[in-house]
Amino acid sequence: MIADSKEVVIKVENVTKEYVINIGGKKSYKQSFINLIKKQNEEKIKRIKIFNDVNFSINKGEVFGIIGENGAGKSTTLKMLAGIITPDKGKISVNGTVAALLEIGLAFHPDLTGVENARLYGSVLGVSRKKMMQIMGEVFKFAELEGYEQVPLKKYSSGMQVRLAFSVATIVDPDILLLDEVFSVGDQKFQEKSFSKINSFIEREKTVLLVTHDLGIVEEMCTRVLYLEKRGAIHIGNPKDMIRLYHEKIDGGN
Amino acid sequence: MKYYDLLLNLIERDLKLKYRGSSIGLMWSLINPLIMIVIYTWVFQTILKNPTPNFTMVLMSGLLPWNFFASSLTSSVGSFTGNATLLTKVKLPKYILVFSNIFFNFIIFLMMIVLILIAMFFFNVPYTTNLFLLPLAVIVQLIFLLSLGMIFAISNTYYQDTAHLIEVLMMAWFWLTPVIYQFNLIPDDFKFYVSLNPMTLIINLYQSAIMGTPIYTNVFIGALFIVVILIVAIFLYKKCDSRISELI
Repeated sequence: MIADSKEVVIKVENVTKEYVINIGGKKSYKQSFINLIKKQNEEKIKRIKIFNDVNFSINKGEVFGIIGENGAGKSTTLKMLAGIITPDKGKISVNGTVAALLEIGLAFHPDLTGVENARLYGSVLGVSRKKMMQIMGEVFKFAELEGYEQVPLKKYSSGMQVRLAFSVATIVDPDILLLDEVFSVGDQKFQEKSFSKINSFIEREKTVLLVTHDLGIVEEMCTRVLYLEKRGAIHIGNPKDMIRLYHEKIDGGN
Repeated sequence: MKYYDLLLNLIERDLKLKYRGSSIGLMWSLINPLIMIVIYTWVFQTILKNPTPNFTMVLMSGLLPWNFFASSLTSSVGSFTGNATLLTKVKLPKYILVFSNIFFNFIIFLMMIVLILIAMFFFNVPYTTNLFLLPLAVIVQLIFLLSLGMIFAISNTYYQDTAHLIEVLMMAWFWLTPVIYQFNLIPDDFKFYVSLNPMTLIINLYQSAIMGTPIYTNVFIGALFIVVILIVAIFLYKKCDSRISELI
């Protein structure tokens, strides 16, 4: 396999992750106080194990797709790789700078203008204010949003927000790019543009991880695919096999 | 520091959001405390016959730092929960969100300090070397605010009614702190207990810096409590840091 001889940039070792859902909603001091007096513990907690001792690694220059049903933990995987949430057990090592584009757009604050949001996003990704000012024109040009610089983000369509976020995330040139359902929003023209941008990433030996429901994109772009079955069973292989397996499992379940 | 620019951007964001669309936006921040001081002076000096000389200035030197304290804490409760879009989408050192909130309030407070320094001239309060205590008071207050703000922000990610609790706490705390009455007017039996309150020390420092009055309170106990709260805040942050993004 192509991956064998190459440098590992992401290593996931023995990762276990459990989601704790409080059925009664968020705790409150009031309720805790009442429970204390009544000497009862009414907390109803549901634990959902998303990962159970998961191991895999991703090499430099790969386009790594993650597929699976809703709730299988695709987005959680990306969030853990981006360092936003931490696993309960196990270790994730990431070697290089990461830019993550999760869910729809950046939308840090709907009342702030496009430029202000882009600058905020840039500073989160570690770009200085000065540098961000210099490349702002470029960012808006790539996003095809010239003229919208001073418009509050709430006036942007969701597609426009994704374009802006994608533009900022790629212009800072990270080593690893994490994309979550980014392609479902942009129009045809922008999709093609972002594909060629990603291709230029790949040519320069950078790593791309993408989560999507669009199996066509997965088959076309990915070098390897991780199929996340519910409750932590994982399969890794070439895109064709994984997509076939995914279909089989879904059909089998019905 | 890599995240210094992020901190600046966040403070700038808050200032812009607060004052956007109103050219007199900044004026509002001045009008509110000014009205408060006029009314408090009327109530406590004209009606309740408070004997303190130059009562308006004593009031200003305590009430404005208190307002900074109360408004910072009230807003820092939402430092994490109000920034959910940031915390669930990007990796960043979360304490920056608490810092940016406190420093945003601090910028507004800096205007109040200027206001006090101008008012000293009109109320014939001499500018003495005691004013060197002013930076010390500010630093001590900032340390205390950052610690408490952190604790409240974390608390709000676990308990959704933290804001209600803070509201009650702030009201009680205000009247238990010598802001509109003077420490030396407290009966001796209670002086020790009032000294336990770190805000007594902080307000006393401000009053001493501006009015040249002595430090009445027990500095050691006040400082000790501030350090304890700081340690609790650091401990709590280290313990809860990794859970915050999932809880909000």
